[in-house]
Amino acid sequence: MASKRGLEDDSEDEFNPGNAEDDEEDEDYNANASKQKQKRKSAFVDDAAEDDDADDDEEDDDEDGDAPKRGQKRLKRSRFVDDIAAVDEEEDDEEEEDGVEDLIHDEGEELHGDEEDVVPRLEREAAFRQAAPRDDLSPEELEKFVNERYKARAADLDVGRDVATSTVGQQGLLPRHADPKLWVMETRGGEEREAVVKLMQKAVSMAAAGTPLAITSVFAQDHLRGYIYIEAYKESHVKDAVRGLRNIYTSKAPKLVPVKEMVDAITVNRKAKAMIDKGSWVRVRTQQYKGDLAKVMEIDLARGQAEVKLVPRLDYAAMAKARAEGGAGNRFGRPAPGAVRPAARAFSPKEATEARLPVEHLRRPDREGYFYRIGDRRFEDGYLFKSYNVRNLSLEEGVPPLEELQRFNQVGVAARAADTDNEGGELAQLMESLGEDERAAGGTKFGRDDKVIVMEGELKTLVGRVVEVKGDGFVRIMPILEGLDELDLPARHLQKYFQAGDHVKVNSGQHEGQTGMVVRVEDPICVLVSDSTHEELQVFARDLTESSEAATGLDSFGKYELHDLLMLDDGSVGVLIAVAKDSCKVLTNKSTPEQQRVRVCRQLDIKRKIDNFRNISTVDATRKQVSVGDIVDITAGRVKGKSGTVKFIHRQGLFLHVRELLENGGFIYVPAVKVRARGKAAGLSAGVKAGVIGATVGKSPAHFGSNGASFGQPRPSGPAPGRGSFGGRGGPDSRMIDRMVTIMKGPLRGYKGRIKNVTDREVRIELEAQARTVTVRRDQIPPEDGGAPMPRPAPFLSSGGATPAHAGMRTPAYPTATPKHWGGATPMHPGMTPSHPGATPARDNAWVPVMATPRHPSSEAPRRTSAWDPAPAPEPRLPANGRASGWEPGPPAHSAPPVTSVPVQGAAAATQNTWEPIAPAGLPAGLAPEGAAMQVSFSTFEGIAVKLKDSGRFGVVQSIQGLSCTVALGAEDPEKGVVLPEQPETTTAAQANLEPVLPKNKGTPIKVIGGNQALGRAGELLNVTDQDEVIIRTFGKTRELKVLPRNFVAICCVPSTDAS
Amino acid sequence: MAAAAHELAEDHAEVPKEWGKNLVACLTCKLVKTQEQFLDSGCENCVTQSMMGDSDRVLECTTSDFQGLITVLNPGSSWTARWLHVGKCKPGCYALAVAGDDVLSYEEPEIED
Repeated sequence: MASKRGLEDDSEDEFNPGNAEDDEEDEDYNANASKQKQKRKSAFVDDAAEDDDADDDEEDDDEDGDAPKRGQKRLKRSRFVDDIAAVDEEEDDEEEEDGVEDLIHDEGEELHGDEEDVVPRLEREAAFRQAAPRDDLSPEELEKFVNERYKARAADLDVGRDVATSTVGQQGLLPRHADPKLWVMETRGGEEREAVVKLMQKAVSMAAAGTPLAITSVFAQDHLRGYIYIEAYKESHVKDAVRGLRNIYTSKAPKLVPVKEMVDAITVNRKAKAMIDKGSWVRVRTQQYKGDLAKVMEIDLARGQAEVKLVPRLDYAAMAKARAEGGAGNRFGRPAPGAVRPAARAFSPKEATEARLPVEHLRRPDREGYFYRIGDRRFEDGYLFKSYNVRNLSLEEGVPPLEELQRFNQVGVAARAADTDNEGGELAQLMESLGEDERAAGGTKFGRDDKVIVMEGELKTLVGRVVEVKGDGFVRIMPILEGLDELDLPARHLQKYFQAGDHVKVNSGQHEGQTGMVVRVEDPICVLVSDSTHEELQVFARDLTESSEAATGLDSFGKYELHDLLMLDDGSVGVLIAVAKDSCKVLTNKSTPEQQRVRVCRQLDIKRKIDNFRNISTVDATRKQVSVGDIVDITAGRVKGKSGTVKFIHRQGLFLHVRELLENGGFIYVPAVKVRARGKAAGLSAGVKAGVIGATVGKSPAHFGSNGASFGQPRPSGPAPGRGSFGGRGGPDSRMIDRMVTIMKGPLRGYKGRIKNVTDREVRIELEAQARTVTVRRDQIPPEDGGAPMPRPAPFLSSGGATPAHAGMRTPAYPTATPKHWGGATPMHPGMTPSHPGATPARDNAWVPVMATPRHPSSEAPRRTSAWDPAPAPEPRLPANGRASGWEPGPPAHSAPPVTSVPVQGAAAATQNTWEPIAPAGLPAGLAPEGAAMQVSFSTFEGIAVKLKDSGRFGVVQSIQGLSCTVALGAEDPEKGVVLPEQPETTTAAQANLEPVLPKNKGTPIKVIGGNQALGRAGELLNVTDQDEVIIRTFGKTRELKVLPRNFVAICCVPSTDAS
Repeated sequence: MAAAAHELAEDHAEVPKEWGKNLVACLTCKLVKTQEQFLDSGCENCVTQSMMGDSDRVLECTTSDFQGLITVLNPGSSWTARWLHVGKCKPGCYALAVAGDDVLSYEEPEIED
């Protein structure tokens, strides 16, 4: 029987080239039957008759078919439902011979071939036989009998056929033009199903009342909220049908679905509901645990319920309180709406008991162990076991991010650790907590050239490189061992292989995109030191690939960039200091000098970026003005005594960047009254600030701006270089001054004003209508008034007839160290006259232009161009100063000579570059960052390998006396630095004569001789980065991993005293 | 049309008593009703499943894991009913898809030149 059924299935398509036809014929069931009166042989079959001529294809197929003739006949006969259609004339005799009973018998098997269903089947067969017609029935009688017998089963037959319906068959059902159309109606959100059911109710009632609805069907898709589809021939039918239903917005007209889209409309998106199964990682969609990671422990698909375990979020006190109040209106444990969601942490029976909750400790019914119960909640291993409807769970694709997995698994580990004293480090615990599933390399995506290790089979521990990833789950690898050929191995036997020192890139997970150096491998997790943040990251080996590129790290979070000032949803303001894949860290103004508050934000938590920080200033502790770019000393908090650069000002708070600060990307939030601005003239009273500033500015272009007569006189200092200086006397453009013009283009089109100043590109115009002076490009004013296409030849307009600026810059008298000139070298404005050459930049501190402001490159990089964009109208800094019409000179600031850069450890990575323009003058030496040169401490030299600068000989420092030391002389050794002979000769050398030997190789014992991290500690070298930094691990009880400038370590030639 | 309407008034599957979470779909014909309704009156299409009065059979033959809901009022002329293979079933509420019946999913045919 089985084989026969198989044959039937195979032949299904062959015999049924077009299901569409079948369907049409099905509909004409009765009509066909009457035609078939004359054809007795197939009277019981709905659509046999006409197929003899119509289905030429079938006959062709028959001819081509290899199946034996007899077999075919049997098949045809037994498939009596539709496929008898293909019966040929010659088979008539056989039909009659075999009789109807045989057919009926087949029919029974066809529908109820299920072996388990034997008894009902037999019963039915008996019933059939009883009622079976005898041979002596007339054709009419037979037909009647068959019709009656099978009419009731028509639906069953149709359903039965569905099972075998193929995609090809479904194609035949595509909508045709004669079919009813689909119309979309809007419904109230969430009431789609209700509308569908109610329409059915309405249709039934109306039909009973004799006024049936003309629509043919109504359906709702689960994924389409707020809409239902109605199938009808006419729009008016739809409108009539929905009239009076409150769930449907009847005022909105139905929209017709194009025939082409009808299939899409009715197709259920099955992929959306991937299979949630036992052991799946899921996320809860609703309520208290919304978004939380959970693991499916049991699933009942029939009821759609899944029991998951998740990290409980319990507020024991609140639970106890709710319980005491009898839980009226608020079910036990369920949080009140709007209540703060408690943090997710392991269930603690102790805390629960202390909160006087009735904790029951019960033995597990199914296996060994115990669980806790409070009310109807079950806790096991610190997890909460909870049942959810599958609809309220969403499947997590792949393995959840390591961090979350860690947090999740830590709960169980912690719970178990409470019972047994768990040995081993944090990683070991994590490892233990990762189930076998997660430890297995499952789902690893191998790429060409990946280094892999064989985990199973005879070749276990063999290391090789991937040559090819094959489609069939095999990977071809080239073993690293010589003498072996390429091998094909199943991917599941392989795991990516990394060693300490490998430079890798993270492909997925929280740290996606980061690169770093592997410093430890604890299978399957690699610990790496990120290139950008120098933080340790723990990443699954499977998420890594070898990579030589050094990522700068993520420096943008959606539309926000690192070091942007952001407004958060709770009204606070903060600086974006770190970016992860889907969250970012923001240092907020809720911080205090003692405790900096960093908030982890998602995209949603950020309201907007704050842009207008440039024009804001505030006052410090001594009422001195503080603006963006100023350097201030911090007078309170943990970083008291250090100085930082003002990056942003928000109200009375400052966001400072302190270079020596390692955390938070060097940013710190301090109220303005907790700082003291540096290098300011005597304190200005806030009350007169505006006026005074105005006066100060009076020395500036503002002065000559408001007073045309003074124009052209030597100015104490020009405006910011790079912005271009306004033309002096003599040039033809000077005639334009004081002319009334109308702006022709741009945002200020139509404004009238008086030209106050002219450059080759721009004019300053004092507007008539507004008390301000604006900068307008020259092509935006009429040509007859001096508007001209840009650019104009620079020499023609060079100011004051003095030396062209760039030449002046090269003049030795104005060393390039002067920030002003140095700033003028900004390539953006190569041809521009930077400033009046006669001005001595140092003369007036307040006039050092903006560029001198020591901007930390790491914060400025993203905006660097805009900072120098000449386009923004340089509006008066203080709007109060109505008459100010001059150039905004930029914040008064220190001038500081640029120094060569040193890498700053821990500086916020993204935009860190090696260019470090400033070491603020007067920065206390002790506070200098580790990067500062000459921070090597002589007192720690004991035991290190040194080179004597004068003699070029090598030796080991034996003892230190003041500023000199005793050195045992030996020979240079590439490995160990210095090798001492048995009886080394010694010499005394001065500190200045010593040059520590820098380590090169991994594993070399080293000693930290500089900086303030682990100074004097012994350790071993793990790696030298390309930024001339070293990764070391210190010996001793705390085996710390440090990243230090390379010159802070030296080869250690004596056994370390604190080695463990 | 009139005949169909007449048929609807006379012969149709039960209207689901509600539209919430308690609905289940017959695994054979996708008819949707509440579990109680299946228990009380079985499935109008699949009489042979003998669900009536047999709660085990009801659990066996129905599932709550179905997607979409369609009211078929005139199975004979409705394209949707034909597409979903309920053209021969009684008018009633059906699921657009029930768990596991991937056979019915429609795939774009490959066009051969």
